[in-house]
Amino acid sequence: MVVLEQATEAVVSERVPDAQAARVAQALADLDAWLETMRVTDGVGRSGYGGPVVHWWQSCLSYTGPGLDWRYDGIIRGYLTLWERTGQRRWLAKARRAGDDLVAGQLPSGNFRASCFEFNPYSGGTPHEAAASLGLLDLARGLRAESGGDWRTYAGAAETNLRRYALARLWDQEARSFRDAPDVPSLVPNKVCAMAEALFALAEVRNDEQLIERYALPALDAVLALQIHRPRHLAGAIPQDVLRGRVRHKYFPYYIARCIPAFLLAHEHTGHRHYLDGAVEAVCFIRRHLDEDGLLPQVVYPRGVNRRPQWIAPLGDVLRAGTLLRPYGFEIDLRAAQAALLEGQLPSGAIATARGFGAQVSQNTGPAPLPDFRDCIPVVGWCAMAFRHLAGQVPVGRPLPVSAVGHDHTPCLIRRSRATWTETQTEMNLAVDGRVVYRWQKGEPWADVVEPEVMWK
Amino acid sequence: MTMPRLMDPTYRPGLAYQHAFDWLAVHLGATKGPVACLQTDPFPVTELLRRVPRAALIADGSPVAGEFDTCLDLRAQPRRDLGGATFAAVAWPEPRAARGDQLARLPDALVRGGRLYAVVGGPLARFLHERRVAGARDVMAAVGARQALAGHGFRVVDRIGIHGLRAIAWYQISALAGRIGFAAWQDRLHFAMRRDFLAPSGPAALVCLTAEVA
Repeated sequence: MVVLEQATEAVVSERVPDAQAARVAQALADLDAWLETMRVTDGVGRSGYGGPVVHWWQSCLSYTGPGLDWRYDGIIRGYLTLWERTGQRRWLAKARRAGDDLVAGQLPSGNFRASCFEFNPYSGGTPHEAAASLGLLDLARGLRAESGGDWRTYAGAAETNLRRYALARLWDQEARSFRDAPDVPSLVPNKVCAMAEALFALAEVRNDEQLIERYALPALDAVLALQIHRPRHLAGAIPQDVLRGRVRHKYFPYYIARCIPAFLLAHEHTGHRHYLDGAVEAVCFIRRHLDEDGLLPQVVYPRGVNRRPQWIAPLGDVLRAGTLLRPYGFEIDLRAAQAALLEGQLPSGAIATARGFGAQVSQNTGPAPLPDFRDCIPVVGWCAMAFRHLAGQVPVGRPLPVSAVGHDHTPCLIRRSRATWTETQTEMNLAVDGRVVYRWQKGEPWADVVEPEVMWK
Repeated sequence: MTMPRLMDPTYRPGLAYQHAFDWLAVHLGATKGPVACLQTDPFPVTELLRRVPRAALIADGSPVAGEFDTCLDLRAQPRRDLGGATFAAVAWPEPRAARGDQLARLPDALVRGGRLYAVVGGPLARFLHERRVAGARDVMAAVGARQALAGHGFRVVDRIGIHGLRAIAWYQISALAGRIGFAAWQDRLHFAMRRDFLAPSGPAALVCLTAEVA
């Protein structure tokens, strides 16, 4: 069974020029330094990566405690890759610490506490728990190769989550796919693909191909059956979801990119061409909608587009998809997206979340006088996507440089009022005319100032 | 008020309650010193303790319908009587209509400058999914809460309405846009609803009251 990441990293590193590699290495060092400032406790002794979340669907600005969600997939994989490429064990220690966060935060049900990302502090997050379990399984595989005896703990936690939640509660035997919630007939392709990815990893760790044959492949077939083939401008798109039997024709390029890794795993496992074709068509759809500045629209509809906000840090997943396709002889030019990702790095070391949250309602695509405050809020879950992708570009054998981070102090807008967003190593705050309307003291599980204008989900 | 699927660790209430309980958590979390939650019904207490596990649970001996969410390991949450204890802040999440008496000993239990944070129903509470499903009619409304607070020596110093008429209007227009095939507009109008979800004035589904001893 092929582990896709390892198969492609060598290809990536050979193709990154020295100047670019140096820039990526510095970006990673700074991103790592920022991630360290985002460690929090939940008030009763459990630790993790926290901070506010801004997202298309909903924002989570009040809860800033540990989020045991998909951020852990990117964080664990990123640190494992740094360990593999630099040989420095401190990166393995950070990957292990992240795994410990998940293990300590697992509920008796197998779910993880606060796994719902933008809907935190709730449990049962999709695709988040599957992604977190995938991170645990990557960690387990890495430690097993090193004869690290504790790999079984991480594998066990992932297996508990996947069997008790994904398989026991979300599997829809009639649809032969996974639901988004236990009691709601539904199918969300990018989430199904994340669950399939996790099941491929669990199958490898447990040597249990039934997980693939009985669950992962039928679920991926259900996703591929939804892929659009005409009209041409939508060819390759995958609808966002199916709810109670009704397909909702909205196409999110970012989420479509997240389907690609699972398609490739299925192709490797079966040799069947249609999985690879589905991945290629999906990336062609993405490429068709990529702007010259490297950014993607948020949502494409059969009629119309809602461009804003446009993701920056999450481009890591789009770039990852492009990288994974290269060994199959399929190359798309994502240099503009890579540039946008790196140019989005903030003085704090984080990578900007997006551009254009202020136009989410108006969809005004003209230049804004100032960014919306939500554009300024860096999010661990989004930065983890960038972290994971960039880690694969670090030259083998070369340690990261010393980080060089500072404070972020950005004029912005909140509800048409001028404001200032500030981030230091110890605090994030938003002030309007000197009045603090939002404040999170890093390390704490809740923001301690959330004025009504910032009570915005 | 008992909630369906309360024991399900994947249960998540609607947006209005998410806002309200987060509001409680921010205020209790920011309070230096011991904080507590008056025992009301399992749903609101579970939501509060999920967010602020350090809050002491003040039980007054009255029976509780249903169980607290054991999936979050809250069964072991100690319940205590007020007697002799003092707190810097107390939460009163969705009290029952006839339970204004829960406030009786509270003025003496709050430290100087201590605050009570209450979440109660507003005139539009009947639009909440949770209220329609549960059919609860005996949850305290904002008018009753203000009377109870005044009657027990409190004055309200702040009020936030959640899920008001503007948000309801945006929701209806958004749904209409979706029904007539304008999906892009449906989404934009949905986010207008989220932007305007709080009701600075006028009727609302939930009301968050901040009170202090008069």
